[in-house]
Amino acid sequence: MKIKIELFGAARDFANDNILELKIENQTDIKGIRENLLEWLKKEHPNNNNYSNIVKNSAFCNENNEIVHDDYLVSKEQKLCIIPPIGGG
Amino acid sequence: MFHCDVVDVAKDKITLEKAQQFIESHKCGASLFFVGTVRDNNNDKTVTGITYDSHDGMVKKSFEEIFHEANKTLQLQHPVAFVEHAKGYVPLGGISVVIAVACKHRAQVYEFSRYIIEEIKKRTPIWKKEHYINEETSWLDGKKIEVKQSINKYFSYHQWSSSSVHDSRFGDKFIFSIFYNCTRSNNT
Repeated sequence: MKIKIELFGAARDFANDNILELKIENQTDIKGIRENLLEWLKKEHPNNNNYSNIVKNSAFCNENNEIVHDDYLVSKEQKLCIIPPIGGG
Repeated sequence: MFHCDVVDVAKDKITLEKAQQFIESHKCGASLFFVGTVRDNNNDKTVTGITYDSHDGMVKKSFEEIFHEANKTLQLQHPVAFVEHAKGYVPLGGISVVIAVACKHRAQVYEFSRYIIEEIKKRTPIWKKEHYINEETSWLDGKKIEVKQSINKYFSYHQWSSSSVHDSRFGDKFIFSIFYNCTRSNNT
């Protein structure tokens, strides 16, 4: 299944588009999505530890604008957003 | 009364006039304006502007939660608030955020305004990319969002949705709520 990840903040530098598409074979959870994203970064941006740290320190939100926990089940195609550490105002 | 928005500064602008018009009320004897602007220096670097990025849906939801929490926590009388945050490139001196509040008495507007800006800093998904005089840019380090949602959701949800549970945070209802919110957070 295809999971779209919309990029925000520092994560926008991961790609030219603001949305990444990950191909996931089986249902997974946010922890699995995070690992998939880290693998993708390893291929696309090898040796960029900064990007990996952003993913490790980010939260994810679902299409209902809810921050979801690492055990949130991702069992169908959907869009998630990566929410890096925040700092507005 | 509450108004909030994320303003794409390439298309529109944040104005104090609009804020003033919104918060005017004969029920309120005090009003206060907080204006955040882009300053020229950060971490010993000369700043020329800031690009603000925002998850608009979450930002608006966060602003609304903060307003309701402030109302409940501070027990405000006739609270009115106007909150707009910039999205896009804001040059030096430009407005990044306006928080205009009004209440019945003066003491509450200081607390109210401070509450809103401090909570925005803590939890609203907005990001800053600074632009420097040498044309370099840098995303600023931010605060990691805590994902212990069940407990946070308990407080934010129940504090303004039900007045009958505020003394039972550490009893059965608290435990039930953790379970309930864990369930709600899972799409199974």
